[in-house]
Amino acid sequence: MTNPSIGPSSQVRETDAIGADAHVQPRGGRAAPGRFERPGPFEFIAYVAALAFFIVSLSGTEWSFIAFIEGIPNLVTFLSEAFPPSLKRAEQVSWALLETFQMAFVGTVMGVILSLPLAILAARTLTPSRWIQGGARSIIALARTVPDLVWALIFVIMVGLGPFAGTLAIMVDTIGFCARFFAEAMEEIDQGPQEALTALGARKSGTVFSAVLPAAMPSFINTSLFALEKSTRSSVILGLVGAGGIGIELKVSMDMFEYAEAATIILSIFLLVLLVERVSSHLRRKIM
Amino acid sequence: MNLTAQLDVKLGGGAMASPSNASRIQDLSISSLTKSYDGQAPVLRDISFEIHRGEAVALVGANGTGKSTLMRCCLRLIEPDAGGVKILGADITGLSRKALRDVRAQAGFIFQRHNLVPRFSALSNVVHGAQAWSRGPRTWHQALASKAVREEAMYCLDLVGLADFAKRRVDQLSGGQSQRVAIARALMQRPRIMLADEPVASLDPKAGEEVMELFVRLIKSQGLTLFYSSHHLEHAIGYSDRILGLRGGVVALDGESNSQNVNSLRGLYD
Ligand SMILES: Nc1ncnc2c1ncn2[C@@H]1O[C@H](COP(=O)(O)OP(=O)(O)OP(=O)(O)O)[C@@H](O)[C@H]1O
Ligand SMILES: [Mg+2]
Repeated sequence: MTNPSIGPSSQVRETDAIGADAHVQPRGGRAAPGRFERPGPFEFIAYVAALAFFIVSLSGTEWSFIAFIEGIPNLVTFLSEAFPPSLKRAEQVSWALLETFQMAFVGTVMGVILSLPLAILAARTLTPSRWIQGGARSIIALARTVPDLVWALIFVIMVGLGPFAGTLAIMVDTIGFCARFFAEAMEEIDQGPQEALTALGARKSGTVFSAVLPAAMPSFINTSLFALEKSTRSSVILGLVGAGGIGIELKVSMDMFEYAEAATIILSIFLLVLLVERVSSHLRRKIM
Repeated sequence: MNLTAQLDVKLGGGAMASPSNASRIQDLSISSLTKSYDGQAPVLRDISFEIHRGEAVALVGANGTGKSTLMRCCLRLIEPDAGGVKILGADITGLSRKALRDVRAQAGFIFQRHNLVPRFSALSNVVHGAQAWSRGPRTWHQALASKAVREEAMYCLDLVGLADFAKRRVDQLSGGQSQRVAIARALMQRPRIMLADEPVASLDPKAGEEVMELFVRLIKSQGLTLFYSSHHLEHAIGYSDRILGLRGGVVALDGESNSQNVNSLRGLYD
């Protein structure tokens, strides 16, 4: 090299050279273990069974690329009739949309409120007894595993058609979601402040309200906002079983082949869900 | 100041009995205490000792010899396997939950980590100390507390030099400041005895020295009995009247602090 000046470029070259050398130079080592583990006989059978079931299920679901391709013209017809969306029933749709969000909002708030005591009973670190913990966990599991549409059907039987049934369904769905995460959040927080309060003779209620809930609060808010997003999405479809909200409007438009009206409804649902998600993620970023 | 005088009486600082009289009263009495953690060899075997009113006793011993276990057993934060624990005249081994709470209320406990509620202010954390003698939601947060409780909490914060930080969230305080808030919370209990498990072990040497000095001065000025553990041998000797040394699950040393020096304690760590 003729240029003796140490500029940035020559430095880079030198570093590169050293780096390259280090890679070229062979270094002693030990034989590495094989890259993949050979599956055991049971594992192998499980893989084969899963694959076989998948193939059977393809026919079970009448999976067909041909039907899909052949259906494209129908989609085109739908889209061409749907656009431009019709604003004929804009006012009615707006009210239904508001009702939908009210169902989601009230159902979520009620669900969150009921989740708190249930979560305290279900949390390993706070429950008064194993039996109560087991009971609380079962209730939460029931609320979670039964789909919201099924809850809606049950509540329609109980309180009749309309948004109240849907709101109750969302409340129960929220309990299944929130109570579980609330309990986990309370189990995961630092136990130190709780021990300190126990040591100074505080009662259980004092410990919960002055140490546990404040520490778990950011996680509670986060979970509740997620629940609101989830509830907004489910409130849209609960109308299909007559439990209130915009879903019934959509179904009627579709059944009457009023695709331009349906398009308005679908777009407004899209905007509502998007708006709720945006606001909620903004709030979540703020509390974190 | 009227409030100060009033509190001094509550805290037991105003009316101190003469030391010769006081030394007869046992504030903490441990007899044949045994503790093992599920199935393992016992950590504490047959520990017995007494601590008298107004005394300051330091507990030393190597890592894992059971200092924290012993201190927690004193308030049944850990359940002992066998033996007796008498604190402030009450045998706590067989107490009901309610009676146990009443005993714990009279004993301050400082942990190695400050164990404050992170999202709350210093003032709220000190107000929590009032749960030792006041029930209900009004001691859950400073905003709910009565005027008297808030003022007493401010007084306790003032004692540890943090009155200006009352509204500061404790997760924005330094380690030394946090530990001082924890001390204020313990003083808010109006305790009669103070237990401290390595109270300054998480602090740097300078802050550790300052906090230890402040802590012991407050304890002494209020005539409280003090039982603390420390790995800092100068702290163990310098701030106590008596030293207990744990080794192999038994009390291997029990002597006046002024007859000890750092070298005589080193044997506990071999
Ligand atoms: N919750 C627990 N479960 C099982 N073993 C434990 C538990 N807590 C402590 N131990 C064990 O008991 C022994 C004593 O622990 P302890 O914390 O009381 O010691 P220590 O003297 O306070 O130690 P250090 O100086 O490190 O604070 C250790 O061997 C530890 O591993
Ligand atoms: Mg310890």
